[in-house]
Amino acid sequence: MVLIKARKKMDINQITAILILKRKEKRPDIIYLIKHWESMQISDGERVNLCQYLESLNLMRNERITPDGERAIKSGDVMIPESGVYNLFYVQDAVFGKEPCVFILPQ
Amino acid sequence: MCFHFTPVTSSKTNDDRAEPYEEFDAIDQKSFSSLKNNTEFHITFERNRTGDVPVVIKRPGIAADIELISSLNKAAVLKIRSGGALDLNYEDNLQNLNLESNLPGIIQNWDNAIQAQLVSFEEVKSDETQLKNFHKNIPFIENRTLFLNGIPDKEYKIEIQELPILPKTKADAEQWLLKLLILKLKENICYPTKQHIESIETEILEKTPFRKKFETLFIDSDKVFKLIKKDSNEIELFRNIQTAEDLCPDSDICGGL
Repeated sequence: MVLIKARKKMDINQITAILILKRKEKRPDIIYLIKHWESMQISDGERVNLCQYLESLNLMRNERITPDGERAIKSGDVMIPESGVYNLFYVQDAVFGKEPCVFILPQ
Repeated sequence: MCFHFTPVTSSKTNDDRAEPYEEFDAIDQKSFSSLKNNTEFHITFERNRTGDVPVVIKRPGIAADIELISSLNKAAVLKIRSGGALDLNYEDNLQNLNLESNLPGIIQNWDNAIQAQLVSFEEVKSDETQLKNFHKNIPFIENRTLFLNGIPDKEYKIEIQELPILPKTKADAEQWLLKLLILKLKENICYPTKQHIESIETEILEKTPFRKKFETLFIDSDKVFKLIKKDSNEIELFRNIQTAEDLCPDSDICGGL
């Protein structure tokens, strides 16, 4: 069976940038919160704070679960934001098609 | 820790933008799936006042080695190795990448219909492995352009293992077949009759890909006998055949004497 190996050298481009990075994570604690929001025995102050946090994650709006929230309940995944200075590496090569391929590292 | 994003879908074309990274976050809330661990990400750049260009510091590029390994009916394997700040040791399967389709551009006399390189007998006669197995290894081809995802990509060094080969012409095929026949006859010290030679020849033709290109290939035993007689290297074999012919002209028994 024919086996083809092709090798070459290339340059990986590097930039440093300030980014907001949203990473999809399994967060059963947050899923529990939005699933049991109505029946949750918490004070009004706690409710406001938690609601603001869930709104910042786009999981709730006006104390109602958003479409993103529904999707999160189904999958168990939540997009958690983080921000900072990152080193971003990208490759533009035909092997990835027409668009670049990106690697990212926190600085 | 290193994350790998899938290519970014952008609102501009490649030609419009000064740098590719300008559009990495072009589509709001667009997530990219990591091919490595199937985790999704979304990035948003801090941008300048007009909001057009991400605020970035460009750093020197990092040298990396890229390797593609492709074999028939299997997903191509992509490997990227890089030291330095990236310390990258990445490996992935690329289901849609097909290096075999590049063979006509890489290999001289490649017959795409039968998927084999056509070679003269002279080129392979000294290599018994190539003659018997109908494939060869090409250790190094420098500076070749590959077409990957429809895009030309230059300066690849190519290595090919087990490249299928077939005779270029009918004359090459006959010489090749005769050589295989002689090798087979010499494996067993015997006194082969013409019938026996023909049965071995038929067996060779059934087990080898000669007939992919030469459907009617066959050398009759008289011609085989004459060709062996002409070959000064095969005096002993000729003598054995001649002995069988002289003593048992109607026998189809090998080694009966």
